[in-house]
Amino acid sequence: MRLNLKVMEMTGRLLRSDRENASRKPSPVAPALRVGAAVLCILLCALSQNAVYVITVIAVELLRLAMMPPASILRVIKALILPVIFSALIMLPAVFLGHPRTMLTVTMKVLESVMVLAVMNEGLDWREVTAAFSAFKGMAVFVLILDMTMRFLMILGDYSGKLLEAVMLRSVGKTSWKNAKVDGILGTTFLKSRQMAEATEEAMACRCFNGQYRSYHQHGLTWRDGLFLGVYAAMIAFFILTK
Amino acid sequence: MIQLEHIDYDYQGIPALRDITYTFEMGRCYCLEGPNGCGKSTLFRILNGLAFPARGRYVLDSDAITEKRLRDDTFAKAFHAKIGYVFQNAEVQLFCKSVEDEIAFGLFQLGLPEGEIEERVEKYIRQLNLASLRKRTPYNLSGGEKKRVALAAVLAMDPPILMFDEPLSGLDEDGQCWITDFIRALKSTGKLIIISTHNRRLAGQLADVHVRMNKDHRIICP
Repeated sequence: MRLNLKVMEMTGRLLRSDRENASRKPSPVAPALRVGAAVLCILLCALSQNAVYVITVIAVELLRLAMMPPASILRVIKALILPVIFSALIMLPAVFLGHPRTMLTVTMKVLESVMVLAVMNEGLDWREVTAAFSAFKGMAVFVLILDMTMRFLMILGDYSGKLLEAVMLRSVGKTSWKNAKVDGILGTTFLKSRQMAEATEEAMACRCFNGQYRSYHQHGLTWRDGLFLGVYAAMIAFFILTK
Repeated sequence: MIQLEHIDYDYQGIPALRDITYTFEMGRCYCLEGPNGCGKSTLFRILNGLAFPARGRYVLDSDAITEKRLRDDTFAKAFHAKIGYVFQNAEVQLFCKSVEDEIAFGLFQLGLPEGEIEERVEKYIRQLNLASLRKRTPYNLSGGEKKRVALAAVLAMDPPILMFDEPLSGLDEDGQCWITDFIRALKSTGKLIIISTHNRRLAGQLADVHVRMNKDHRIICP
């Protein structure tokens, strides 16, 4: 029962994010570069033995966060709280063993890593993140499957939401009856998902699908991308300087 | 040309098609009419190689279409390239992340050169008025827009045979008029068009030949 509610909560979150991003303009910089920058940043922070580097990255990310809308700031902070507190607690014994800096370093690195990802997540739609993967050779089919899975999650989330509304309109009072219906809704949604998957497979066969896929729009490098590559260079240069 | 000879089809013992014998000729528009459950969609599935008859023969351009032959990838590709199928529910037909990706999907599968793919994508984006939607996710489009994208994706492959399953379903009046006019314009291209519908007005406006099916799953009025 609890698991069912979790599944519904997750699809609800996906649906919300999709509605919010439906009219959003695509990222001006190639998503692959933005994802790559986030990964590089986390990697360099993990390798860094100098707190200056980590603190500088945190400061830059905080600056970016401050320029975001309040709802985004709240989401990023929510994503940060748990991992940071958890890592601080895990590393707490180090303070009593005489290594307080270790606790501080690890906690800061966790804070930096999660913040970089959370801030990137706010600036990119999930489709742009998956598109970033398709920039790598041989990943296009993987991206197609990932995109289709997300799409089905949203369609079925929408469908189960409508079923829930129907149950709500017909139910008066009895909570136990409503809860029991959640299982029925998920069962119906599962059957619907099977039908849709079969129909999509047939549609793909009708369009000669033979297991290979290539994205049509290859994002060529623009001057903005060139500028963004400067961020890579700056990160690496600063890492070497502070080493 | 499509020839069907004594086609029978059952769903686990429940009859869906009975003794269907018919010939569809190139350059004509056929409207397959009949009540719900008479077997129109099943006939479309057979014509598209998605289901195989229990008895009878299906011949497309002098090639017998059988399950065994469609297991051969080259044959299956050549077969599917000949038939464009616009599903009743466009939602299941659209699975790519953007409208232009959707149109290019079938063209990549056909192995066309990049230049031609780009040319065709642009042509059908213009023709079906999709320029403002080209980067949008098909999932977020309206019913009419989804139908237009599905049409563009199928037409871009330039198949000589086109099949439409209930092309007006889920569309408002403007959308219905647009699709009707569009299919009417397609008739002049010399393609074989088969439309499954129970909308008599649509059939009256478009059909060169009315093919009627009854509740006994037979063609009664060829």
